[in-house]
Amino acid sequence: MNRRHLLATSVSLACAVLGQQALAQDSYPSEPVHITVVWPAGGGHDLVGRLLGHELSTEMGTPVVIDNVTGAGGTTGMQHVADASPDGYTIGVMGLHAISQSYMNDSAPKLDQFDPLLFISDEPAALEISPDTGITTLDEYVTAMHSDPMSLINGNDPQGGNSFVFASVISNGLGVEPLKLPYAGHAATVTALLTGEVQTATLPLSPVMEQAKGGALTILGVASEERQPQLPDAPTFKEQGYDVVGGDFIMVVAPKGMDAAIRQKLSDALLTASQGEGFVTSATKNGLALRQGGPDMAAQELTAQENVIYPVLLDAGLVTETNKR
Amino acid sequence: MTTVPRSSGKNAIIGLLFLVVAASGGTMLRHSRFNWLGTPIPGDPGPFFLISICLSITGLTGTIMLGLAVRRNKASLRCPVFSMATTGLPAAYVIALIVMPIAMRSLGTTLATSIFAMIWITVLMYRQGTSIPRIAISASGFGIGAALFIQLVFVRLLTLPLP
Amino acid sequence: MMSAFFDVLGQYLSDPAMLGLVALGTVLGLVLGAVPGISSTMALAILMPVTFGMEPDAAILLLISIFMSSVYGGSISAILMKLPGTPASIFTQVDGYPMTRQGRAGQALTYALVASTVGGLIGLVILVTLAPVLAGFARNFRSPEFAAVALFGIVMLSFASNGSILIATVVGLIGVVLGAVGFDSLTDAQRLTMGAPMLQSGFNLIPVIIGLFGLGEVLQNLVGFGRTPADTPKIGQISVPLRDLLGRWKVIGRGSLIGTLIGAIPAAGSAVAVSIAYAQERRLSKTPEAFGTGHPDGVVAPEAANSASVGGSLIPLISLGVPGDTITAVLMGALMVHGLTPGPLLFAKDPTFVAWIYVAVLMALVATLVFGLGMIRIAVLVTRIPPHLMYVFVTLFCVIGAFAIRNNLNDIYVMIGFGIIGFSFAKLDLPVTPLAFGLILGPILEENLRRSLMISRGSWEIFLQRPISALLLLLCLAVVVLPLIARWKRRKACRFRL
Repeated sequence: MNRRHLLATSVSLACAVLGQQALAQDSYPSEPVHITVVWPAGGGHDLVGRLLGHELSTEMGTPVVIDNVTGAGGTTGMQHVADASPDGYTIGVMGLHAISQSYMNDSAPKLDQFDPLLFISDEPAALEISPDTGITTLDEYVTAMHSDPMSLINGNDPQGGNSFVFASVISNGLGVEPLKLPYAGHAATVTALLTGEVQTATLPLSPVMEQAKGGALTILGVASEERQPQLPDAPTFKEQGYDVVGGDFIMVVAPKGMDAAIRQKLSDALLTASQGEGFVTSATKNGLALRQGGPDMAAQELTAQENVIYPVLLDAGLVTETNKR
Repeated sequence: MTTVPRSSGKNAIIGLLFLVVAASGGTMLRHSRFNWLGTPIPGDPGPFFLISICLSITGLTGTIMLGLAVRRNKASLRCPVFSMATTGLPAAYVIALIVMPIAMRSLGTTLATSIFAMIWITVLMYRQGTSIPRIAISASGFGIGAALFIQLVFVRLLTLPLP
Repeated sequence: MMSAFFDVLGQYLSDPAMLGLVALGTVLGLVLGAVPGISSTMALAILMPVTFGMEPDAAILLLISIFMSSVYGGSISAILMKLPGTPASIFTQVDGYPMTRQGRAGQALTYALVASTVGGLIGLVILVTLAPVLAGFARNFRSPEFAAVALFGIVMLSFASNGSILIATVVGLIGVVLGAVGFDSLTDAQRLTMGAPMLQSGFNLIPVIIGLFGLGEVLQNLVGFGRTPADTPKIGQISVPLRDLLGRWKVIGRGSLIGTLIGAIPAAGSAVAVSIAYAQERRLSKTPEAFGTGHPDGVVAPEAANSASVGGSLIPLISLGVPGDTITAVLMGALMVHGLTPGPLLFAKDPTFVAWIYVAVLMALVATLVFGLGMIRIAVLVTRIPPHLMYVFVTLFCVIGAFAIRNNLNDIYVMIGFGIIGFSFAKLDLPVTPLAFGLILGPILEENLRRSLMISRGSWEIFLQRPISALLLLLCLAVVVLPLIARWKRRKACRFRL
């Protein structure tokens, strides 16, 4: 512990005020870049936004600001990005929610209004179970569910949220039909699983990482091709004989119609920032499975995800008439 | 739990207000109900259950209050609460505020807020009977001050994405 | 645990850099918290990147200092300008602002600060000594209990304002309806939105409360402005006689206990804690009609509960690894950047880390008291600002604060709309606070009520089968029925009057 911390803090604060005076004279970027996060501060997307913003700001030599534009299940924020001028100063962090909302809500922006710039990470679906049930393997779970479908209640997001989509995908893959009890947000679902209100949950790995390591819950399966490096003990569905692969993702998008040169500069800077050591270390510590890729890969992934999710939403009766394809 | 005595005129208006809330809420609720295609999970009383109960109680209370007030005092239903003389200034203020977001979008926050500040300080000081030169100094001083403060604190330091 | 606690405390106290960090964090938190329109959550989120480059223990200390002091900072604008910056300071304003109007702003601020410090300390002591017990208590809370707590809050609230209980209840129910606007949290249904994007995002609390209280007050003061000379309140005495402070130890104690207990329940949050603490104090008081007109107990009880709930809200974070409210969510996010994920494992594995948190809370509380006392003298000068400037000043803060919470221009319209409601309600002598709390408690009640019924497949018996929820429901019934019986006995002869 030394005086450097104090000094460093004061300096960074001073920079926050004065830094913006020192704007680059030439073209882009000449003003702060705003990253829109559609969830409140403190969530997974917010963390990614802030970590990435921190790196991006050194990379581009311009301040980067995080705007939490929240509400309406992420739609308000996505609309904010879609409405922004495509000048490279407004970009947004998005995931599966934007795909679901574009089909479920007539006033949500459609996916073709966005230009994917960076793919950051996969968030594979997983099935967690409380140790109180005494079930430790996937086969035991499937047997138990076949003998009494009401015996194990699953906790997940409300319809359209990512862990709701996971619950549908996993249940279909395993051939079971659990009661899907909705909770507003991942933290509430973890709490319900730990207090025993629900017996299983279909959350992605990052919110349950610590609890899984501590033995407060068991991970029955992960919906990825291979085991996740942060949690090598958790088996995949595939290796247990069930072909369940899928999950959420995190990517950065911009409004459509950006100038080609600016787009190139911004997406290059984003890719470099996401590969920077500071970002990689912190993101990995937080349980992110990084798989960085530029605009082309991001666009491919988006289309692929859309094709996975559409049937699930259609099946659950969540697609509005105008959005049926 | 003391009961503050309320004039029956006010009670009638409150009853009317409750009725209006219940009626308009009910209409909007019907619209929402009609537009929802989903089905609730078994056991769930549905997304409109609690709202309907609250609106029904509100409507019922409104009816009773209005009825009692009318019966108790048929003559004095005229309301002394809202009149142009007392609500003219607040109403003008509200209208100016409603224009604000539009002005913020077209002129920028800094300019819009300082114009708002200058106009209203002038109006308020004029009503107090302050002399014109003093008003001019205060209004322009505060207008510029507000602009600077917003620019420095909210835009620069806190980097809010104000338009 | 204890030895780790004292080790860390000694180490921090002997390190000038750490002391400097506490001072810096506290001053920043106080100032940012006191600026209307900046919530504790925003203050933390804005300053989070500053800690990226620090050692984890220094980062925790700075963030917790900002967090704790901004909680008190929020009460400053509530007391001086009737602008509650956080939902938790709604009740501070109910009695604090009248005190300011009476020229007792300094005293109100002192009461709030002392109650806040003592409440925080009591919350901390309970946290350090009883964390496992409280965590066990919190684990018993499932959907039926959450629903029962929310109902209890709504019932208590009907007694929190002067005037007719029936009318207060109906206003609270209107608040519940307003809280339901937007997307249903359990299905994908849109409610009362008419398909408009502005209504789809629902009513966020901050624009609602600054509209209801802040703008509502400005509009009221504009009635007949200039015809009658506006009275600027005097600054008056700042210090509070020690006797008056000590005499309120019971109020502080009760508030702190309620705050810690309710804060420990995940997702219940400080807003529920303060509403129950305030209503409870008003019920117990010998002079309930004095509440709402500048009664110091009305400032002391919610402030103690608010600050104590911070200790409580750290319990789910430490024991379950889930944040109890939005502020702890930001704190947790910041900790995770440093690779420290709070959870059951960490508690057992790394007592030093938990000691960092406890010591940081303690030092932040003391620093807030010291700097807060110093700041009161400056803060009360706000009351010397001439009214016409003050109104415009407050309005601008209302506009920017409403926008800033979600960076959404539509929220400014929400704020104006609720300003008009606040103004009209005051004209009609309707209480405003139940509206705000219906809006807070309604969604908690509805979500958990419906989820309980999904679990029980539609059987309402689930609320009676679980002991804690049955007990809470019994309490609700007692709170409603007992005064009715008493009144019925008293007024057998009189006819029921509305």
